[in-house]
Amino acid sequence: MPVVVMEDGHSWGLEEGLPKFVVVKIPGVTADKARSFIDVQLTDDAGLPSFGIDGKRAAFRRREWDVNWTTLPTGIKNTLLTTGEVTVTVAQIRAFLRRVRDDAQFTGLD
Amino acid sequence: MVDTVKTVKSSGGDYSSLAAWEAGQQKVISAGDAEIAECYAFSDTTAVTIDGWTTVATGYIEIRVPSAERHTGVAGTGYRLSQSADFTRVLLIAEEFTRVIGVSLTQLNASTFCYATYSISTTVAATSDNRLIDSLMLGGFATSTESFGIEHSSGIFLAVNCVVADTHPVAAKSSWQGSQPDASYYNCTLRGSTTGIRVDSRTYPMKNCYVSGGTTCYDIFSGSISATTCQHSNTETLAGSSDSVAYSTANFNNVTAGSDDLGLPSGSALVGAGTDLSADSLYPFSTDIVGVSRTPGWGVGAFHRNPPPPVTPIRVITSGLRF
Repeated sequence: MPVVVMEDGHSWGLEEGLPKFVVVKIPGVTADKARSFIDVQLTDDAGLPSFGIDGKRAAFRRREWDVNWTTLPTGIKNTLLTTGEVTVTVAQIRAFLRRVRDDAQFTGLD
Repeated sequence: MVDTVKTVKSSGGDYSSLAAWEAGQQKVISAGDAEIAECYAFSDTTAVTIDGWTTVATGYIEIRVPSAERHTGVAGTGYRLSQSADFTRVLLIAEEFTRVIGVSLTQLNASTFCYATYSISTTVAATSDNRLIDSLMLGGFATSTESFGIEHSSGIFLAVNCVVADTHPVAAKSSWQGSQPDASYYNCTLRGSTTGIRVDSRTYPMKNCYVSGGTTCYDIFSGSISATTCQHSNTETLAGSSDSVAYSTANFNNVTAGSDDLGLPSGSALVGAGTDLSADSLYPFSTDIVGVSRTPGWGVGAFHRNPPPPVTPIRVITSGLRF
């Protein structure tokens, strides 16, 4: 699950690495542009708006998007598992950023 | 008893955002333990949802800001958490036992899809104890019907020394949704651009609170408010709350939205007008939102100011002196 989006050069905390987290660096993409990648999912899995019992919009899932680990190239996976971070381009990572409910590709970095 | 303390800092801490702390530390908390996020002064911009943990009455989550790292009662100071996405609360509590102490929360979303700043989820069970202490709720959007400074939708909730200001239409709302909520508000300053506090069920104790709304201070749809030495800005009548205490610079340092400073100037009607809660049965305390001792002269609202000292009579002798 993507947790936070930060600008290039961010100073990560001591616990913001393996085994809890990995960092995917995409130089040149601003945090503002990437922020929608950590949006909450405000629809159900059929794509209809989700509501709480009070009738207000409510999160159906904590994050709408994630990185598709199963299809991620082995080289990237190995780098993440051994070093906890990887540096990629938008072109290299685009195909593996998906919407959880229907696997639609995330295009917010384009 | 094990207290696990992790620091949240812009650099050099265990985590660099509260959202990462929440994701990294999420666990089952045993009775007698506390899971603590200690937040240092910086601007944290990712919304936080506290969910997926297991907490009990004596095994709780605490998000706290050390005194030296706290806000000074105004925007842009100390540890501050904000967010700007639609339909998103700045800090959403979906667990039963949490304590949030000394944070400054700002809702930056300025659309009609603007949601609450501090929120307790409808999913929280009736048996719960969520506390919000010494904290600021700022921002909001004046025309969003869901922009609440404090949105309390379920379970038992206590707010002490808290401020809601800026442009939330409703400063605080305690509603009947979820598992029949109970709320207590002590020494809070609640300013809504439309409504001060909206109550949808039950009876809520309010002590030493100042409540102001552009239209309505107390919007009691169902249930009631049990007020003790409270004050409000309009001419409404509520037992235990003095009316017509203006939300103006006569009573507060600055009431301009965005520049709010709800500290008390000399001569404020809130000074010395409260009830001493240092021995309160529910939550005894003795300082204000920024750590100032509340004695002498316990006042109303989140900020304390000592009453002026009593005037010592000066005897003027106009005759009978001999040199």
